[in-house]
Amino acid sequence: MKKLAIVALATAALALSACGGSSEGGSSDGTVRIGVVGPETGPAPQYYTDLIRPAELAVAQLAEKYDLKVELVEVDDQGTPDGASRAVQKLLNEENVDAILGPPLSGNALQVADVIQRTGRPWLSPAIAPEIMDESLEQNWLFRTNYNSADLSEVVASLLFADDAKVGVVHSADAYGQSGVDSVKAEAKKLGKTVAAVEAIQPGATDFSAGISRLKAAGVDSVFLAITAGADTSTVTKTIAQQGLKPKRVVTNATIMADFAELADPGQWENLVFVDPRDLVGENLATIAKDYQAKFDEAPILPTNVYSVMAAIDAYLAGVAEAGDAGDYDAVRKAMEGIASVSVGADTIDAPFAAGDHELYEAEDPSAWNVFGFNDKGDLEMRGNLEECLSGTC
Amino acid sequence: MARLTELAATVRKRPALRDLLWVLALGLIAFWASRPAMSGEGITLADSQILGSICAIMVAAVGLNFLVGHARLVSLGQGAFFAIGAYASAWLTLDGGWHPLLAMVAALVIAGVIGALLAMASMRLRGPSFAMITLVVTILVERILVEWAPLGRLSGYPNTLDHGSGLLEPIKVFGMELDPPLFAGIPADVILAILIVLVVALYGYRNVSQSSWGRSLRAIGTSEHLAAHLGVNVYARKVAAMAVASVYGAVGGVFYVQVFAHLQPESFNIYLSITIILAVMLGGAGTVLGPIVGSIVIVLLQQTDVLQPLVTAQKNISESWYLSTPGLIGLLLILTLAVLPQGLVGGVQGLVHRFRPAAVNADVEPDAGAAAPTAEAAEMTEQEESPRETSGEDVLLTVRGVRRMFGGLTAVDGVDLTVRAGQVHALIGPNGAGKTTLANLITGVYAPNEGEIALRGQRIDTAPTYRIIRSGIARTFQTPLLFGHETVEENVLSGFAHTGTLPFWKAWLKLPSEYRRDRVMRERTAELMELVGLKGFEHLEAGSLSYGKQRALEIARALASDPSLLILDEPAAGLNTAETAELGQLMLRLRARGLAMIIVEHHMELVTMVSDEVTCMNTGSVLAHGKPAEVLADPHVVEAYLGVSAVAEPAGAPLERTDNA
Amino acid sequence: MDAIVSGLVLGGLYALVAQGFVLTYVTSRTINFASGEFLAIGAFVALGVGSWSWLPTPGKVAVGVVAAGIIGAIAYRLLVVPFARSEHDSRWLLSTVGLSYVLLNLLTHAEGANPQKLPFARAEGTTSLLGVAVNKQQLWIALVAVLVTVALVLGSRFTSAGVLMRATAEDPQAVSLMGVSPRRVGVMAYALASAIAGLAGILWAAEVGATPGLGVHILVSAFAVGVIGGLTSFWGPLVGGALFAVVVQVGSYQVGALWGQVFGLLLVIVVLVIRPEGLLGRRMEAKL
Repeated sequence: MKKLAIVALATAALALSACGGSSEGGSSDGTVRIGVVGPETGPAPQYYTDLIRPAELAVAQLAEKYDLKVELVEVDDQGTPDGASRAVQKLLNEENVDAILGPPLSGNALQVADVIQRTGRPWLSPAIAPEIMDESLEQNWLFRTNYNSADLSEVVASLLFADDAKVGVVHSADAYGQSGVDSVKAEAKKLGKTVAAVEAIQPGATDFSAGISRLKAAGVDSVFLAITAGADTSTVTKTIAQQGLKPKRVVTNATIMADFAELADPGQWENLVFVDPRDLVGENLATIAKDYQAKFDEAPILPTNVYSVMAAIDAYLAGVAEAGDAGDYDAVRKAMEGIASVSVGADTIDAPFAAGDHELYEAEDPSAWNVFGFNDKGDLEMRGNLEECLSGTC
Repeated sequence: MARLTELAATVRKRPALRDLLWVLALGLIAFWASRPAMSGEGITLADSQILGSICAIMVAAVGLNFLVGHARLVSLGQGAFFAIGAYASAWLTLDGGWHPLLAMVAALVIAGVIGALLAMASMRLRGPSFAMITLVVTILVERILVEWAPLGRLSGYPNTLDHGSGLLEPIKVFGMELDPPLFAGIPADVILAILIVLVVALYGYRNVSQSSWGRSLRAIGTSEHLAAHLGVNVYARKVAAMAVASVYGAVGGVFYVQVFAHLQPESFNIYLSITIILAVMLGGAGTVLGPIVGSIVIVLLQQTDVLQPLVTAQKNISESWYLSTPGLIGLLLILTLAVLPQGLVGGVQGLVHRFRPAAVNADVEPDAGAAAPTAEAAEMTEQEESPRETSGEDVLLTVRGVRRMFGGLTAVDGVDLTVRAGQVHALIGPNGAGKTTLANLITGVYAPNEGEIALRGQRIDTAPTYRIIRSGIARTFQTPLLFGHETVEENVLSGFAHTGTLPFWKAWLKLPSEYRRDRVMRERTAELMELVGLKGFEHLEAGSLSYGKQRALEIARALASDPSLLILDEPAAGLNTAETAELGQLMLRLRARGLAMIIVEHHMELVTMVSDEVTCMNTGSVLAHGKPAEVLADPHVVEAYLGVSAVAEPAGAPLERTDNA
Repeated sequence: MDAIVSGLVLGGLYALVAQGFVLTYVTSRTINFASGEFLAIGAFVALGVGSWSWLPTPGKVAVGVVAAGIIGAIAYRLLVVPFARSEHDSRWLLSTVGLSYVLLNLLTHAEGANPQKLPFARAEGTTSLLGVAVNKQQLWIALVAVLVTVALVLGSRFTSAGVLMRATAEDPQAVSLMGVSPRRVGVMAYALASAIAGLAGILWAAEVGATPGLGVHILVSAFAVGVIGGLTSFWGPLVGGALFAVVVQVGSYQVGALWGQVFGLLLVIVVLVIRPEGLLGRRMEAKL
C-alpha cells in the first residue's frame, strides 16, 4: 500500500512539474522603471501619499531635464513588514524595476534592507532610522535623501548640552524614537556628558504627566523630543507646560510640522525649536508646496518627506543619465556616488554622495543645519543656522 | 460509474484507507504548491512568501480551532504564541547558539508551557472574559517585543547593529541548507520543509479532531457539566487544549521566521491574532477543513490584490467614502457570519446534510417498525451481552445522611438512599423537592455538606465528577445535552469512557490500535442505537431529532460507558404516551441485563411499571420510601404532590415515615 | 500623590467609555468591540457641524452624541441581535470586530489619518487639584463620567426604561413574558452606550484632535477598566477606572512612562483570575 502511494506521488509530481512555466521579463525600450513601495492601505496612508505624489511631481519635472522616459510602479506594502517584504520581491523580480523608492516606515524598511542590499538594486529611502544603512558594505545600494536620526542627534546634542544643561529625552516607542535616543546617548558620551533622563511615549498615549514629572524629578532643563507623530509631540509639550517643567529649550525635528501647529496652544511652543538641514520657510519650499497643491488639490501633509523624495528622484535620474543605462545597476550606483549635485526645485546640494558616503546630509557642519520655531501666531519661522544659535546670535 | 460508487463505499468503510488518501491528497497538494518555490525563479518569490504566510497562519488556525471551534473558548491570544514561537526559535538559534531544530522544539515547549500556565490561571473564565485575558496577553507580549533589548526591540531581530546582518542564516538540517524565498536564483527549499511539517501537523490535528479527545473538547464546548459526566477531567483537558493550541500557534511563528528570516515587532500586534481567529471563523469553526480553507482564503484576501477591482469600483462612485482591503475583510466577516454561520466549510457540510437525511429517511420511513426496536433485535443484543450478576441483595450505591445547603437554603436535608445492583430505584417528589440536586450530589457536581455517598462500598462523595463517572455511573439530563450540530452516531461515540481517558499523543498519532478501538466503538454504537430505537438515524443531526429520540439518544450515550448505575433525570418529560411506553420497555430490558438505575420521574405509570423501590422527597428530605404501590398510596405523598391535605388524620403518618426511612 | 491624583483624573475618560460596556453587557450579555470607532464617529459628526455658527456648542455636541447613538442602535439591530441567539453564540464578538474594521477603514479614507482640530467643547489649560496640576479637559471628562454614572444609577432605579433594563439584566425571559421584547431594551442600551462613547469621543477629540484612530488607543484601557470594575455594575467603571488608572500612573511615575500600562494590564489578569466577575460585579450562578 505504502509503496504504491510513493509511486503515485512521484508520478503526480512529474506530471505537475511539466507544467510549471517561467518567464524573465523587463522593459528594454529604455524606460526607467522606479518601484515605489509604501503603506497605501493600513493605518498611516499619509506616508504613502507623500511618497507617491512627490515622486510623480519630480518625475514630471525631471524626465525632460534628463531626457529619460520614466515610469513609476507602485506596490502597496499595507503598512506591515511582511507586506513590505512581498512588495519588494514583486518590484525586484516581477516588475523588474531599475530602482526602489521606499518603504517610508522604518520598521518596514528594516525588514527589507538586507534583501535589497544583497540583491543589488539602487535603493532610495527617505526613512530616517540609521540602522537601515549599513555603510560597512562594500557595495552599498542604499542612498538616503533625508538626514538620519543619528546625524540629527549629533547636531542637536551640541545645542542640547549648551551651557551645561541637564538633558532629558522623550522618544516615541517606535523604530525612529529608539534610534533617536540611542544616538543622543552616544553623542553625549563623546561630549563627556550624560543624558539625565529618558522617557518613552506610546503613540497615541492619553496622558504623559508621569514621563514629564520624571524628567522634572531628574532636574532636566533641556529636552530632546525624538517623536514620530506631531500629535504626540503636542501631548508631550502640553504636559511640559502643565507640569511646570519650564525647560530652557525643547529641541525636536521636522516631524513636528505634520500636526503640531494644528493641535497645540501657544504656550506649548515657547522655547521650542527644531532643527532641519533644509530651508523650510524659504521660497523654494513654498513653490514646491504650490506645485503640489496645483497638481493634487491639497497641501502636502509631510513637507519634508516631499522634499526628500524629490531629492531622491533627482539623484537617481542624474545617476541614470550619467550611466546611460538604468539596467546597468552597478554603473548607476557608481554614477550616483559621483554626481556633482542634487537639486530640489531651486535648491542644489553639491557633491551629495561619495563611495563611502550614501547620506545626503552630514552632521559635521553645524552651519548647514537650520533652527526653526513658531511665532506668536503659530507660524513657522527660521531662527538662523545652528552655528549662529550655538554662538547665541539667533 | 458503478465502480466508482463501489470504490467510494469501500473507502468509507475502511477508515485507514480513508486517512491514507487524505494524507496523500494533502501531500500531493503540498508538493504541487512547493514546485514554484523550488524552481528558485525570481518571479515566484512574492508568491512563495504568501504560501509561507498561508502555512504559518494555517497551522496556527488549526491549533486555535481546538479552542474556538471545539471547546468554544474565544481566544484573541493566538498571535502571542505565534510571536513566542518566532522569537524564541530565532533567539535560541542565533544568540543561544543552539542547533536550529533543538531551538525550534524548545520554542514550542516554551509556548506550550506559557499556554498551559495561562490556562491554569484563566480556566474559570468563559466568553468575553476569556477573550479579554487572551487579548491582554497579546498586548503584553507585543510590549515585551518592543521593549526588551535582547530581542532587538524596534530595530528588529536580527539587526545590523547587534548581529552584523538583518537576516537569519538559512538553517542546515541533515546536511541540507533550507533557503528562504528571498533571493532570485536560490531555490526556496525551506518552503518544501515547511509544507512537510505542515502536512504532519495537519494529520495530527485531523486525528485529534476526529478522536475521542476531540469529542471531549466538543463536550466541553457544549457544556462543561456534560463533559464532566462523560468522564472528562474538564480542568486538565482545557489546560491541555490550551497548551496544544499554543504549540500549534508557535509552529506558525517558527514557519514565519523561516520564511522571512527577519522579525519586526510590528508584525505581531493584535491584528495577527484577529487574522488567525478570522481564518477559523471564516472557514468554519469546529470543522476539520474549516480553518484550513479559511486561512487560505483570508491570507489571499489580505495579501494579494484580489479585492482591488472592488475598491476601484467603489472609488468610481466616491473618492473619499470607500472601503479598501481591511474594511472589505470586515464586511466579508460580517456577511459570512450572517449567511454562513458555520463558515464556508460548515455551510457546505450543512447543505450536504440537508440532502442526506432525505435519503436516510426514505430508507427508514416506510418501515416504521425499524425506528422502534424489534423484539428480535433486542433479544439479539441481549444474547450477545453476558448478563450481569443480579442478586437483588448486592448494595451498589448507598447515600447516608446527605445534606447540602445553598446559602441559607437546605436543598437536600439528611437523605438516605440505597440502590441495589440490578434494581430500579425511582425518585419522586414535587418540583423543588431536591431530586436533581441529589442526583448532582451523587455524580459529584456538588460535594455534600454532611453525610456520605459510597459506590460498592467506596466513598465517592469527595471525588470529582469525572472520577465518579469512570467508576461506573452514567446519567442523562433534565433537558437533553447533545451536540446538536453533529450526527447521532458522534453523540453516542462521545459516551465511551475513551472520551475521558484517551491520551493526547495517542489521539494525535492514531496508531493501528486506535483504528481497532474505533471499530469496536462504532460496532457497539450500532448495537446501542438499535437497542434504544435509533437505528437508521446514525447520520442525522442530533438537533433535528424529535424530543423523544433525543432522550433515547442520551440514554444510548450514557450506556456507551458501560455503567453499573444509570441515573435518568426525568426521562419521560415531554414524551407522548407511545414514547413513554417504549421508554418503559427499554428500561425493563436494561434492568433484565442487570443495570441498576435511579430514575427521577413524575410520570407515575412509568414509575410503577419499572421501579423496584420508590423514594419520595419533599423540601429536601425523604417523605416516604418503599415499594412503588405503597409509596404512591401514601397520603403524604399524595398531599405533597397535590398541595392539599389528602390525609384525614395525619397522626399515624410520621411513624410510617420513620419506618420507611 | 501626583500619580494618584492624575490617575484619578485620567481614569474618568476610561470609565466613561467603559460605562457603555456595562450598559450593553447587563442588557444583552454583549459588548461592542467597535466602541472605539463610535468615539471617532461622535467626534467627526461634531466636527462636521462645527461650521454651523447658528448652533451653540451644546447643540453641536448633542448632534454628535445623537448620531453616534442612532448608529449604535442600528448596529445592535443588524450586527448584534442576529449573532447573539443563544448563550453559546459568540459571533457578536466577531461581527463587532468586523464593524470596527469597516468603520476605521471608511473613516480613514474619508477623513484622512491626520488629526483635525475640534475647536469647541474644550476647557483649555491647566488647573490645580489637591495641589497637583491637572489638565482641565481631563478633569472635565472625569466629572462627566461621574455625572453619567449617577444619572445611569438613578435612571435605572427611577425611570420605567431603567427598571425595564434592570429587569432584563435579571431575567430576559420574564421581561419578554411581560410583553416587552428584550431586543427593544437592547436597542435602548446600545443607543445609550454608543451615545456615551460619542460624547467621550467629542470631549477627548477637543483635547487631542479628531482622528479615525481616536478610540483605538483608549479602547484597551476602557476594556481593562470594565473588567476590573465588573461589567454588571454601573459603579464598576468608576471604581475600575480609578484603580486601573492609579496603578498605571503609579507604575509610570515609579518605573517609567511606558511601563505603566503593563502594570495596569497585569492588574486585569490578577482580577480576572481571582474575581472573574470584577470587583463590583455580581457572580452569575452558572445554570446547569
